[in-house]
Amino acid sequence: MNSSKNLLKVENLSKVFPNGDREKVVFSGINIDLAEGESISIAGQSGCGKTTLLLIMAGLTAPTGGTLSLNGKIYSNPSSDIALVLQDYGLPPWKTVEDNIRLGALLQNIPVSDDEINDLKSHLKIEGLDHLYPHQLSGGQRQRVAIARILLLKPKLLLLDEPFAALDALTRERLQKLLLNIFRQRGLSFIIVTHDVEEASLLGERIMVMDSNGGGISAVIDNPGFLSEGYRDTPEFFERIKQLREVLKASD
Amino acid sequence: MPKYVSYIITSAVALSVWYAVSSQLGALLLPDPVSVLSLLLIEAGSAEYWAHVGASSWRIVAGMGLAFIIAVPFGLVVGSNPKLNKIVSPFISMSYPVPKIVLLPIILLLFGIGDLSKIILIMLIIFFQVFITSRDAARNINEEMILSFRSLGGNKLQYYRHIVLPASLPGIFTSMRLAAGTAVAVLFFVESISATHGLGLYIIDAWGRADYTSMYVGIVSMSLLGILLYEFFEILERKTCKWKHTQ
Repeated sequence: MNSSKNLLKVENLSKVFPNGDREKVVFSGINIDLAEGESISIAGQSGCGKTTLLLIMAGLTAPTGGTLSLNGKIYSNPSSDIALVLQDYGLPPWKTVEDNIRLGALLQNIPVSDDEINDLKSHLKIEGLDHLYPHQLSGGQRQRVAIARILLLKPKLLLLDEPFAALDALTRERLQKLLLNIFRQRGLSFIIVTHDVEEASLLGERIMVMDSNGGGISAVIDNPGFLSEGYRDTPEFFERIKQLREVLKASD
Repeated sequence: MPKYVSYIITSAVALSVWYAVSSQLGALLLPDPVSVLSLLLIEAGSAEYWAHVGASSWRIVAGMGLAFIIAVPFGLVVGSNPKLNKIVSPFISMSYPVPKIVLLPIILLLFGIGDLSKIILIMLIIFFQVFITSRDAARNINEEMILSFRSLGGNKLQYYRHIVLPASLPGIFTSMRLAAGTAVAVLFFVESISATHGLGLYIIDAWGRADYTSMYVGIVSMSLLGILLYEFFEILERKTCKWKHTQ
């Protein structure tokens, strides 16, 4: 694990949903420590509660038990230091690209300069799309706009819920690369939940596997080489995928 | 094809059919369009005709405007709050199917035979259509968009301003366009029962006098009122929901 200052601390988190007369335990006893500038992939079978966990960490859903703290402060509501990117982008279709990018800053009353926005657009390769609406963009462009919108808010922690799942293989690869570049350049911390073993192995410094039967984190795999050049083509990467696949099978 | 061209073509076809049918039925039953439109032009020069048009326009605009002002915010708030929706929905389900037009005698007793009773009846009938559309539009907003908006730090008021209202506008305008037809029908009914001015009275009065050309002038005028209202909401929708009209 990274030796930097702790950013996010998740302690003994649990979530239980009422299920008729009984209760359904989605997960329990989850503990996560995320350092500044660290990334974690959370992998697990569909329905194991990955998204619920992410929404709780975003302050959008209340946990049944446990606490969350960011920079040592306990929180239970959305924070301007935490940004969320979802699979279907969450871009209001009635707002143009420009308005969508500015939306978060507008809501939080954060002044942003045109230069700042233009730099971001150029970095994310979404220039010249200002007056288009989301339905006029490709899936990859929409996800870039969603990323631009949250980067403008300069969050400390990025939470990503299967953000590239709806994209074709090449676009997904490009955006994974882009995310790692942003991670390197901006020193952002992020947690990505995914059911894709390749994606989990590519993007997480640590890979956490969630139990499918209401337990917590059933395994943590260190992935120290994830930032190295050409990692995707190394034997270490394939070894990590194999290891993760075996852990996932065991946790099912 | 520009919209005005399609209107010209449609009008030309309608007038041709009207002319053909009129020549078969005879001028007594269906005067030809040339006589009706000529009389309409003559009537357009009389203050009395415009007093009828003015009275009808005021009642329909006020009734629809009131329905819009009350039903849209109420529908959006109820649709966005599941708990409130649970309380309000049974009342709506019970009162919507009641034919409000049968309440006319009660409304006349309560609000008199002036404009107010007519406006209230139009408002009452339109209200449910617009309320139900607004509520359902607000209720069907994509869950991921709501989560994403909340994570961006949007408060409740901003949620209505940036998400609920724009998401619901296309549905609201569709319901207003449909309501325009209903409102004209209700207007005719209430004006034919009790009014000193109004196109409904104009039609019934001409019918009573067996002046069929004048009666058709009234029918055409009332239809034009409905078309104008329909087009008004169509233009409003095009202006405020540009995203819906882009490829």
